[in-house]
Amino acid sequence: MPELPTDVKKAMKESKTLKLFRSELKVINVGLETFYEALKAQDVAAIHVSWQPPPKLEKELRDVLDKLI
Amino acid sequence: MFTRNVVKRNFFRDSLQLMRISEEARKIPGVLDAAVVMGTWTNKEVLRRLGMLTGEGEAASENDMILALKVEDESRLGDAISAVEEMLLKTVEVSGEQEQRYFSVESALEAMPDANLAVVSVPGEYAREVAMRFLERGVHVHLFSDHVPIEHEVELKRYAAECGLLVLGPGAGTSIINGRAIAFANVVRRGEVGIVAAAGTGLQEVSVLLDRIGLGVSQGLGIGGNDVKSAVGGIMAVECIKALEADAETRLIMLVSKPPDRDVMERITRFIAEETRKPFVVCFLGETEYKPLKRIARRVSSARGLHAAVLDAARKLNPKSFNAARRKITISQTELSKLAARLAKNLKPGQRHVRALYTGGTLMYEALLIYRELIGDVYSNAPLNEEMRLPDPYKSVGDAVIDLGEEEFTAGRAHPMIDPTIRRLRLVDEARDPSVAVVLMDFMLGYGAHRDPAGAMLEAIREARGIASAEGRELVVMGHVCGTEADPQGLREQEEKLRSVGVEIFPTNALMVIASALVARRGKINKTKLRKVCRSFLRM
Repeated sequence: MPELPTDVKKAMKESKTLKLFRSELKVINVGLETFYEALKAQDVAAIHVSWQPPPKLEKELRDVLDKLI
Repeated sequence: MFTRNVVKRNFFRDSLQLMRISEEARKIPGVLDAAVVMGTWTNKEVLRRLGMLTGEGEAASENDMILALKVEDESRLGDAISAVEEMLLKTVEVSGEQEQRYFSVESALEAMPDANLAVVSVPGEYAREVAMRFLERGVHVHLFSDHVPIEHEVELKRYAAECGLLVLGPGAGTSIINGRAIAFANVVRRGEVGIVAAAGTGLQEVSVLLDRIGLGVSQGLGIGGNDVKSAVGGIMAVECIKALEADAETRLIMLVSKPPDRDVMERITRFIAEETRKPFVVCFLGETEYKPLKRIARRVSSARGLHAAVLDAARKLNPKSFNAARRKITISQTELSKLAARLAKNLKPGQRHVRALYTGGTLMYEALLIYRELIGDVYSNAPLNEEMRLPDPYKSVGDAVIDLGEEEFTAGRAHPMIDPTIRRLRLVDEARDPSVAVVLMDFMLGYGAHRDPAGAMLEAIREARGIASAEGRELVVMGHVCGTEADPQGLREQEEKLRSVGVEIFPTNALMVIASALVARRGKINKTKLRKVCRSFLRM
């Protein structure tokens, strides 16, 4: 794909943040549930990911698997 | 009375879930006190001070959970423990029943494919992995997690900047996006001031004070304290300034941070000079005032404190409104001196020290800067000068300012803005010291914070004043409530609660700190120094 001119790339990049500023917030919360509850209380469209640290054993197994692969 | 610790090996719940379970557990019939915590050093220290640590708890590791219960009657222990164990299981089950829950980032992205912001608060070592998955899908990230390795921060921010995305944080306590509070933030009116802040409670204080003088916030973007360090290079500071410069709703941009590293300062200054046209208020909380380049000096004003920065914004947006704005948050130097004299009236000659117990890191830093100029360097667990580091952060000496949000008070615990336990204990300790004249505290309102921060301290304030009074002393207690009437806790109600137990309330942190120095020194502060501080920090 041909390289975009710098000013076009710049305009595209800027627009992502400006687009956020002009859009209704849609939030995925990962971790502390209290932040999700605060968003819901403010009528923000939000969903919550109940995140748990990966079990240690799983990580060890994954490291072994990483090595094997 | 019986105390028992039950240890659950390799059992994890986050500190907020555990705080709620602890609150519920205290309501179990026959239970006098309860604490359910992860077995970190800090948590064990708190249990010890509460008289609730036994040998079992002492032996727990930080991956283990401690159920600590104090009961009237030993026969109640078995039932109480079973009830708490049930609560622990429910934290997962109940959430699952109420609404759709997600257990992976992928399933959440599938359910909300048009998500435009992720709020991530997983432990720092996992933050890169989680945040990157969102960035790769074009989603902006507010990264609350702290202890994120700096190389991970650089990687995330470089990638985000390449894609035109925001990474707010790591360690970003506060953002206000499209008028909505993200993490710890206040409900402030929308308006024309866009804020970029590498200082979480700094963003809270300026947004709240802007609200009080009738101004509002277009966007408040927290970028995390490390962004302005050389290692990160101000990547997001520049990206956020760029976005606010292009944002039609923003008429003035405010930058709030501790002084950036020299190269970052140069980069930001150059960017402001060459790539922006809007007026700026730069608040680098530092020992000296930042001087903007000559060619932009008319457009960019510089303040050393949060109170002053807000008044500078008022002046820049509408010079005619400045005096009215100042009256809303400031009293005159004469009034301040009179107030201090009235508060100090009943103090004993030996009561000479200030003790500041902060939950907000930036507010405590502002206090250090002000005290340095008025009464010299003070002791702290996060001092300006290493020689003034408290040997034991749990014990104050001399004039001391404590940041209760530092690691030694928060490892495995909820932040003191949410969990008041550590500050309650500390306030009572300070009251026992006959050399203490005045204790000051911040009360942070808004989403994310404790649902009643003032109410949670009332009993401890009464107890502290009672201890002093039993020994024939009076203890001056000062408070600054950082919040608005629209916050869930309500500013007026919080201030009234504190006044009802004799707390003197101040509209801004800077004003409270200056007043406390005047009380502790009975007004005997070098007049030139006082005038300079009042000008720099209050625009008096």
